[in-house]
Amino acid sequence: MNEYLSILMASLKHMRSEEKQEIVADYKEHFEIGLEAGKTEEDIAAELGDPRQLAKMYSAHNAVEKAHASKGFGDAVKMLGAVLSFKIGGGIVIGTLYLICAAVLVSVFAAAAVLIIGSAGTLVLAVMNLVKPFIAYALMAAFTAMALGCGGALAWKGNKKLWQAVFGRLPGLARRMTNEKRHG
Amino acid sequence: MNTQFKKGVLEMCVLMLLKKKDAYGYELAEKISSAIEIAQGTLYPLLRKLKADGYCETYLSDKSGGPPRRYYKLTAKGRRAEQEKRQEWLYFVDSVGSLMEEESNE
Repeated sequence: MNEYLSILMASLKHMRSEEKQEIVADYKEHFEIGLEAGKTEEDIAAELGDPRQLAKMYSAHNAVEKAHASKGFGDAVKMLGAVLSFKIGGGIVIGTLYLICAAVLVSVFAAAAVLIIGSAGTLVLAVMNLVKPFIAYALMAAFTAMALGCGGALAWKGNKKLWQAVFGRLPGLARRMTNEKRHG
Repeated sequence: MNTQFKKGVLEMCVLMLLKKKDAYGYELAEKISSAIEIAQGTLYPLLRKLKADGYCETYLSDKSGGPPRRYYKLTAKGRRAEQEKRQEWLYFVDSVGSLMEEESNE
């Protein structure tokens, strides 16, 4: 029983520890009632099924729920991971498409970040040139900094919208994949 | 039997059993697995989801003797869902039945 429960505990991912304890408590209760009814631990464990597989059911469901609350980057990736590991096979094609989308969007984020950092660097150059008598360079650097900064900020903002458009739909898709239709 | 198919039926079975009377997890698992071949452990994620969706509530009670057990009780929302699913199921069985009839008449 203890081995079963500890495998289950260790396999539960992406949730608070109180939640893990609640889940494990359900199975502990099940074992205890089964033992009282005269079953052996082995029989009970066999009837319950593989604890790793059960943990995946919780993790997938939990991650989908969490992403409903916040559509943040970390959660989207966690959810994708959980759903893919739960339903590796059927949803793999859609999952891969989303991974590619995620990769493209992440690289655009990176490019925007580089532009913003570049603008900051150029700004420093502009200030340094003010001290020396190269006013023309200073002006040029200042303009470049402004252009880079604006470009970077725009790219970042647009990309964020795109990200939300693509990943805002993910929870619904994930639910369909895990076949956990909600009602009401 | 197809696992996806079973999963949908499992939810209806749990709602249906809870409508008759409050029950604890082990009790439900024994009852359902005596009729349908399932891994009993899959019942607990389902119960947790039903609770999260507001279809049932839990309370601790030792009314069946021994240590306190976590009982599940349907809410009004859960009873409505049970009614809906029951009708869907009856309609489904009826439709499949009439298809079978057609086939055997040909």
